[in-house]
Amino acid sequence: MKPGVRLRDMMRPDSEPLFDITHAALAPLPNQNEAAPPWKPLTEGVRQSCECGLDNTCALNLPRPKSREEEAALVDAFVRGLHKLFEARNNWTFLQPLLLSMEHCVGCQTCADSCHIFEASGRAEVYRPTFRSEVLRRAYFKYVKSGGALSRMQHGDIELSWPLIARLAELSYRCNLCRRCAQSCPMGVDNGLIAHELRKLFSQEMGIAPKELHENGSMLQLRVGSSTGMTPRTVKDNIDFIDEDISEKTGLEVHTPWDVEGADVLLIHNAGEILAWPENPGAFALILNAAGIKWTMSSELVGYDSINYGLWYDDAQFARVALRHAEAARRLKVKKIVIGECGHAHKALAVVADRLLSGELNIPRESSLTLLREIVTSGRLDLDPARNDFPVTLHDPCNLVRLMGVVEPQREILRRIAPQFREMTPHGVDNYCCGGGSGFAIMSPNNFGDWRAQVGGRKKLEQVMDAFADCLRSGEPKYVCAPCSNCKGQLRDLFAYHDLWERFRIGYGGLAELIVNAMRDVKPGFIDWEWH
Amino acid sequence: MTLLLYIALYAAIACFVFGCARRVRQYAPLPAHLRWELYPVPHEPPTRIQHGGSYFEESDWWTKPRPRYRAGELRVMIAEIFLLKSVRESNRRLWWSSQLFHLGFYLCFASCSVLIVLTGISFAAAPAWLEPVARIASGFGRAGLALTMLGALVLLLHRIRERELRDYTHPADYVHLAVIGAAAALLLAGGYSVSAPGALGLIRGAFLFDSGVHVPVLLAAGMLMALGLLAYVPYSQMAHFIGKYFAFHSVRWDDAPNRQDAFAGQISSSLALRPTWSAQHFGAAGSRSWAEIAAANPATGEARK
Amino acid sequence: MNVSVFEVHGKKYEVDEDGFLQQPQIWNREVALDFATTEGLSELSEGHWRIVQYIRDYWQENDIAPMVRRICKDTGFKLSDIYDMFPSGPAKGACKVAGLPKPTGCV
Repeated sequence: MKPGVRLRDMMRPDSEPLFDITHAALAPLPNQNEAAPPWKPLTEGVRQSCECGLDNTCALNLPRPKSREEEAALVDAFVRGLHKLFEARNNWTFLQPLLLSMEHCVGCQTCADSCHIFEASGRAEVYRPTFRSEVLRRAYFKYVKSGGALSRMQHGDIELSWPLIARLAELSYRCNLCRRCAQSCPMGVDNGLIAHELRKLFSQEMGIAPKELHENGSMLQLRVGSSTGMTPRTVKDNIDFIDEDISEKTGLEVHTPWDVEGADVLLIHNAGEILAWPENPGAFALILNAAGIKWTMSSELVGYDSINYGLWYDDAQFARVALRHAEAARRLKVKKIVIGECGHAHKALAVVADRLLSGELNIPRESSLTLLREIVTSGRLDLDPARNDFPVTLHDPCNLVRLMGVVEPQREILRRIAPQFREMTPHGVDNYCCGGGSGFAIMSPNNFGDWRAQVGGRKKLEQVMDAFADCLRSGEPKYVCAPCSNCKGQLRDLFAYHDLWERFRIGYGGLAELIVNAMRDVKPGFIDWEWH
Repeated sequence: MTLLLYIALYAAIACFVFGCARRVRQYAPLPAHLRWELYPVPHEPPTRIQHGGSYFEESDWWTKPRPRYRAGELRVMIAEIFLLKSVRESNRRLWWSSQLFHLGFYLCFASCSVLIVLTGISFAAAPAWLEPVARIASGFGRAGLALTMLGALVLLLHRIRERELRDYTHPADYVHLAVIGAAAALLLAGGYSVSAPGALGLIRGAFLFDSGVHVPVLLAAGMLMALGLLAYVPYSQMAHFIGKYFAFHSVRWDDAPNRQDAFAGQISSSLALRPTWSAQHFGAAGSRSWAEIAAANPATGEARK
Repeated sequence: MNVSVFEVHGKKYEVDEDGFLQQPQIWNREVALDFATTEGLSELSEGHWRIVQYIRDYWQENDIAPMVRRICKDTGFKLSDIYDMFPSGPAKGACKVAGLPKPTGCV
């Protein structure tokens, strides 16, 4: 057994990485006959000025404290935050689940084999789900509970120091929050939740969070209306462009209604779709109009961007955005909100925020996949599956399946419109994360993009190649259907990194596009394989 | 000496019950949390349980009734409790010993329960079948002790020999396993002692505080060890059976939608709480409630409405 | 956290962790050529400039990068052409050369 990192190494007083993932022996890939590209190294500048003491990658760019006093203050802040995590007034939102996860782990390691990151890394000890949780747990029993000799016997010991805390901060961003570990735990302990709560501690007490999620994410959304930076003016302009473009492409008149009071449906897309995958919102507009749905989008700030990054790291940001989503719907007096193809947006608004929305804000929320299934099976669209006669597989976004239970609608649709549809193994509620979950898909600082493509997305890469094993070298284009913007961003980067289009003609896209591609009324060739 | 044993017995039981109640009181009254369920949720109807679907798969789900199939939950609980289903599926190597270990407990518990009932009957009457049934029950109890002992030993070996388990096993965990194994061994051996009083005799004695019952040293040692453990269980990880109930019922399977504002009352009291988080964007300022904080906009400085 | 300095042709630029210019206002054609080296380009063709100028102009007016599809439609280039010219693609490549801040959100 190779010597690995031990828990006590987290306390090492230096800032050197505990191990080097960039040169580690990762889990072997069956179809890789050439080596993956080498990792981009961390620059000297980053090494000198930031905390990179975990695995030779860096997601947070945490500045190194300049004095002992600064370090001590940071440690104090962490301890204060630690206490707050276990107080009802500060964390009623997740207190019961967190306490249960703190107190019942028996260290059986049943969760270890469920974690795709742990497996993909070649079983690097720091990525073991219990490694991270054990650090927090020991800190909890020592600093929040009474500590003492009996506690040390029962729970182990730990000494909080800045190097440990800095490493822990980075480590909280090496988990996709996919919760496969929680699914397999016989005690009901949730290591994904623990990573989530750690992130909250860092953000809510110490103001530490990835720029992509906070300043350029939730804050930008609250300031101008969208994390993409689109204002109401630019989003309407872009949608106009898309409507025109799609009308040209399909031969059908496509028009997106804005701010229609009393509409049945308020559709909210992940605004990223509009910029990066415009064929998706275009397809939705076409489908909803063809099906005679009375729908609208909202140009109110935040009302046209379904994202809610706070779900991954901060309760205040989460609540703020969720309430504003519901508010946009309330103002338009719609009958229901339909969430576009975005996994975390589903979970945020339909599930986690559910109990926050009461009275007039408690407007029903439905998945777009459910609505699309209803439309496709109703016969309102004239569909010709022969137009989708190429291999298709389905990537299940974690937030839709394991975390929300929306599993069948997308499959009912695919079985009708994609004659060569085949499942990945495993799939449904047992799916694997794409590797972009919990915000990683939009994070590429330093060599974190390499981490995402080589470790985070490794399992998914294997699954994709397995799913198309029978036609890998046939030369025909193959479609990975991924009904989630974040997943698509990750798949785009993953496929580009490993040259999947060049080598095997494997592309990806959403679900709505496949539906439109099968519509007889539409000019053939809606799916533009160039945009793989 | 026997009297001390009886006192220890009642004290341990009281301690156990009190400790468990304390744990339950720790978890039960916590404020309603935000939804954090995990699929598959077993109380969903059979058509959805197969693929782990939720009511979100139904069009306009809020207009439809939401039947809950408690039998589904029960089925999972039984499989989890008695067959350690998730360990079997995801950690087969460890499952054998853990299963034996827990099965041993269940047999002991069942055996004790039956024997207590039989003792109760014996006060009123003395049917012919009492002794034979008691012997069978004792037999199961002995088998349980043997399984527990074997399971504890193998689990201990796993945790000592395997690095990935050893790193996450604390000193107390080794002690727990060792003491459980030792207690089981002593009880087993003690039960076979020449002068052992027999289960019915012992239980009857406990009810009557009969100091005339003689308990051999080996058995007494085993009993004291086991009773000490029993009293201590709720104060350690061994009480995971309590946490597990809440983890599954209150979190993993809690998919109750906020229809008709069912949660509004609980959540509004939580929203009135005043958090103290320090980050600037959070905007706690020491005196604002969650409701005010959520209405505020740290990016523009405005409040909603 | 702006911690990096991009050194090229004897000049130093403050960049973010992804290598995007931290002070978009100092951009000019010389800066574009400097940043083009990160895409492996020692010079920029007329096609390159058409794309870069389009992106720059759009950003000046709208404070945000243009949709990829817009870039294609309005410059006349196909997406594959853009990837040929800027290996990192329109967002990470062309926008960087055009001196824009890194595109944000799920794009």
